[in-house]
Amino acid sequence: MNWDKWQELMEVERPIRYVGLEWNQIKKDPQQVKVSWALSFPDVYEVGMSHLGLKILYYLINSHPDYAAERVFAPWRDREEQLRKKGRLLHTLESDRPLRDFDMVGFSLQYELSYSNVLNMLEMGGIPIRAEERKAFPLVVAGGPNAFNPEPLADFIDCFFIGESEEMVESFSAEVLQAKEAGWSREKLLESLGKVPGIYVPALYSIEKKGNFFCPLPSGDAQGKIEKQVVRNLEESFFPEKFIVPFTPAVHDRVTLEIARGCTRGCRFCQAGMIYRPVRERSLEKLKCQADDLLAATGYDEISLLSLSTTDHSQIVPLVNYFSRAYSDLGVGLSLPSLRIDAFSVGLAQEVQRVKKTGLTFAPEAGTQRLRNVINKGVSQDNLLEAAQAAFRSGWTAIKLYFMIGLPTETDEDVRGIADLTWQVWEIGKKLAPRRPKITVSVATFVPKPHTPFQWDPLLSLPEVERRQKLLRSLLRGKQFNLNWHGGESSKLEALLARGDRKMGGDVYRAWKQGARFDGWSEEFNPDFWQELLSGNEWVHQKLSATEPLPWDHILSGVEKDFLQKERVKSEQAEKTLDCREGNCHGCGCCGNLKAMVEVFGGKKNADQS
Amino acid sequence: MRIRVKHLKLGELVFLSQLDMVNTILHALRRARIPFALSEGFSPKPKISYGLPLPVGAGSLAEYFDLILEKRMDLEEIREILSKQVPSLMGIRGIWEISPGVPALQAAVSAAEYYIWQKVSGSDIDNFVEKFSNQENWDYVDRKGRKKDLKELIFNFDYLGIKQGLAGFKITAAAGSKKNFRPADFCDLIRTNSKGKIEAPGRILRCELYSGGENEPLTPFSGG
Repeated sequence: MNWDKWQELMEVERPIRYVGLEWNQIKKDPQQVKVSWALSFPDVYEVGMSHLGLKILYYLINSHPDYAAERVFAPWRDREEQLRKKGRLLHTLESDRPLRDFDMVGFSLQYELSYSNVLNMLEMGGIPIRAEERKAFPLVVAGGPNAFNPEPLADFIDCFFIGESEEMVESFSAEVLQAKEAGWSREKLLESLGKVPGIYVPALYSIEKKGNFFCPLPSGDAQGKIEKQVVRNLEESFFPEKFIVPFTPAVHDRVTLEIARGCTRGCRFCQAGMIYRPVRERSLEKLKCQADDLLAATGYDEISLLSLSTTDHSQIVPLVNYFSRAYSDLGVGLSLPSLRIDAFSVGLAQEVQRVKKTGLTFAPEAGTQRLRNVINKGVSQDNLLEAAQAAFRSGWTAIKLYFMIGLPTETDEDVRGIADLTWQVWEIGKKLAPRRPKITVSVATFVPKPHTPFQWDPLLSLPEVERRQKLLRSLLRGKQFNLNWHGGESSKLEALLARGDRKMGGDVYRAWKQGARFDGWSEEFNPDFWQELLSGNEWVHQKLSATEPLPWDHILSGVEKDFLQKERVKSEQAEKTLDCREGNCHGCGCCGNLKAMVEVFGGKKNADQS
Repeated sequence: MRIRVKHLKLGELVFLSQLDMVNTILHALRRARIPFALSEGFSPKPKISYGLPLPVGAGSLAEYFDLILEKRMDLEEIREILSKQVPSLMGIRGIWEISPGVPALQAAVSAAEYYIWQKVSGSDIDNFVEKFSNQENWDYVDRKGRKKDLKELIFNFDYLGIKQGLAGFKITAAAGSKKNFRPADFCDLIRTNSKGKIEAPGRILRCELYSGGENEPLTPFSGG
């Protein structure tokens, strides 16, 4: 390392973020590579390196002899300032080449508040920000859950991947390679890509104002609807045998086994529960092999069983029994990221946490049974209290409860219900816990998301959010409670970007230009940058009509809009819809539309009989 | 079985914090399936201990750690399998068995040897350094406002002259919990005294750790 590089890195916070060279990094000779990807995560290294999708795509692309994938993360403000001052472009960790030298720059869109970083990384990488200003390569590609409403970023992205990118990335690369070799123009390539299932090319769509929103209209022979692509057989799908091992711990730094994808509990606020359908599991046998390989390749001392709802895996008991013991002589422990609320799950957690008793987290989401029925959170008060009893009896003293404020139909009684439930959990803890219990109550503001039954529902106004927060605070005084809030203007921004239309691209651009970066980091978020957007757009606080055209109507998640509407009507009557994975199909349309099957190892069923 | 391992920390890996470096070694030990012993209690931890933490940005030819293994292994075998799992910029330089009675590294370290390079601008640096090295005291006030005489901590001081715009120093000085010489303090002091002609921060390379001192001769750990 020469003196200049050393001195440069000495000047920034956490320089190791910008170094690369980690164990299992793949470095290919750019001269030998025919299609190159810069996988771009619009947040800092430690956050991006936690993301499983990035690991899957990195190794999948690199497994092909002609393709290469490199990584780049959002530079923190000090690093940005330094690169700009020196007139250097944002570059990848692997080859130090600027983003503009790649064939594809692929962004992972995990949360709306990372959009300003996407623009910043493009500009810092030497790429024209607006898609229409680009003359040649790279193609700027984006995928992930936020691609299900691509419109707010449509001005800046050439192609969106709708659905599970590992299904698309190889054929996409092959098509680009063919185009490069044949010397196609950018326009011709985009037109051709616009016909590929799952690929949305915004440039091929004009927009037209319909009601509150500008909605896309296809031109030429672009697809009228873009259908989500899914892995049809998770068991046999690609999963890396190695993970990059960061020198400095990532937020989640362990062997992550994806035990299942999709969740059909049907919580009506949850976007992941709708867009990742159907439920597909991996078997214990498969997971054993993956764990062996990954532990040997990484040297991690922890395995995490990842899924949207881990305890719902049909083989969860054998899974936990196996992984909590198999590697214990190597000091390898097990963690479960999401716990269902019941005594069964606490039992499992106890199995896992033979030694370490860290906190347990439960998410009742709402304070009363009525409101939990409205949101279809299939959890009763008894479930929660039994879970709390089991937890305190087994020696846990710290419990974290997740709630939301501002859910559709919420009244003050529901807010009081949050306090009541919390007090009851505390009372149980006082009786049963080995020490004085500590209850953390985390309260987020409900943000309506596209492709959910609540996509037509309003975001609560800020003064009303504050009034309800104040009410709750007055009911939960005491040192035993630790209250966290998420909300305010950043929730409003999230709500606007989540359901925004293409015109909102202008607001994202202006905010970035004024200095917006890392809007998801509370200490970095500055509402002034977004003032114009935040002060208008009253629709976000209003209920939208069921017939209102929505900016994401052309994106198909597999779940029918009619089904979402039916669910919305049921929610108003506080009527529940049960999980479909045992075979009682509710006709969401997903399995039929996507030609995918629910795969649970208790037996394969096609749950969609409609 | 108790072993002592010596390794490098070079190149870009100088930006690893002490904790990052320990974690990196632990990952390598696990990949190599070295059967290290775990502590008892609620969260079992490997029984590993380092000598003297290295500041972020400094390199080293002589990072040492002690480790307890659950069973006996051939030292050459450990060296061979571990070397395959350690990043080359942290390459293994030596490995010894030590008896249970040997004091822990942290307690035994009494001195360290450093190479320091600092950018220079202007002329007459050689004369300045000569005068500076002949001063009786090197009085320094550190960031926390503590006054100390850095010279008191020095066992040996060599000026290596200027090469490619960098002034070089080789310093052996007290290290450890009782008295500790911080190379960054030296860089800062010489920068102020030279009125900025010698710049800071300096690039630091630690090349050995020693026990002994006071009334005994300094003994490098690798010689033990």
